[in-house]
Amino acid sequence: MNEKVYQKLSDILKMPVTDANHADRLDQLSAWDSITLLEYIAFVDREFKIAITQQDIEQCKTIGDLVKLAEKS
Amino acid sequence: MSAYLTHINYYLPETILTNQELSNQFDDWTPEKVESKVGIKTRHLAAPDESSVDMAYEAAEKLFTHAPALRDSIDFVLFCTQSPAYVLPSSACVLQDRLKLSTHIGALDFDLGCSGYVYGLALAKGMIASGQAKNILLITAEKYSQYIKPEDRGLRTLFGDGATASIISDQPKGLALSIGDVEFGTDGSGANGLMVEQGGDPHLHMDGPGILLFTLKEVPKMIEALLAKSGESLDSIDQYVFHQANSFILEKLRDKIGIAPEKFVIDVADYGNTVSSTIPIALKNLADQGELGSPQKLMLVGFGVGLSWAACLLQK
Repeated sequence: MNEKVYQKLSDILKMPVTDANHADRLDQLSAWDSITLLEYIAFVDREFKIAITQQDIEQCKTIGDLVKLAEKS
Repeated sequence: MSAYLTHINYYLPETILTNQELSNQFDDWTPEKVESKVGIKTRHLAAPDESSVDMAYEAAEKLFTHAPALRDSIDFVLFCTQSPAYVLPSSACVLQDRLKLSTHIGALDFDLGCSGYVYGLALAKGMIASGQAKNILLITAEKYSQYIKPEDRGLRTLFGDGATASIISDQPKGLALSIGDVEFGTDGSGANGLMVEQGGDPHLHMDGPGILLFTLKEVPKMIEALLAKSGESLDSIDQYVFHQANSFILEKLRDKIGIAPEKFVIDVADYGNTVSSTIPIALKNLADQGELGSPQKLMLVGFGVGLSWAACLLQK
């Protein structure tokens, strides 16, 4: 499961993403913006049928937080 | 009795906001980045003293300039706006006078956004099918810019002002696009998706993630329902004209539904999201480019604030 998530994050953040990046802060990543955010939300909805809300996203500060969102059940 | 979409014209206000100007003010996105992310290059902004009725007037006058006999034939006005010039009276009544239409007509406003044009066509079709009207002037006119905070980079990037005027008639003249089956959808639980309060915060707020997920969930279902209802298939439709919100959501939808790119109209770069005007603007441009020849099966798909959605078929 995480494989798909890391692949998608690598794609949209334009950098290789693995579990070593969990502490990376989103606000330090040049590719993280309002559209990348929507890309990730659409991906998690399609792949895992999880609906991420505006509130969920506002609480995400790191790549690890984003990965955790895809694990919500 | 059939109802036909026969004429369309549109008006865009003079002031243009470019990506460069946005970048000058908000330095996180370059003009190129804006364009590549949301597919918008410019959007038009109404002047401070220019109202939605003013814009509607201009759009309708453009339409009548090209077909003067239409003015006296109008027997009903449907005015779609969420930024009315007056709390009361109806903008449609004010417009009747400004356009010097007959006083022996009906006129009313209805309050919808991105789904508004399709709802307008459906209402017009009903009026004609029931013999209550023969030539309906359908207006879409929006000045969302008046609700957007100057510091709100996202909304200022996405939305543009403008107005359109269309005629729906019981006669197959002009574009002669017969209005076919319609599907509707409404979900008020998503009201916060796009909201301007009355008496509270006067600014437009958008829940991007909420709107995105709703759109990706409901729009494909609605299209499937409309195709089933009308006995059509995805492939039997020649062109799809969706509400032109931005290229990001349009491409997500196109991909999810499986519509071939050559059938899928994207015409948002020069206008941004003009709300209920996006579909008629795209249709008018198609007509001007000679892309609305016969035979033709079009699907119009509107979705957004409400949450509200609707789709219809046009055919000739």
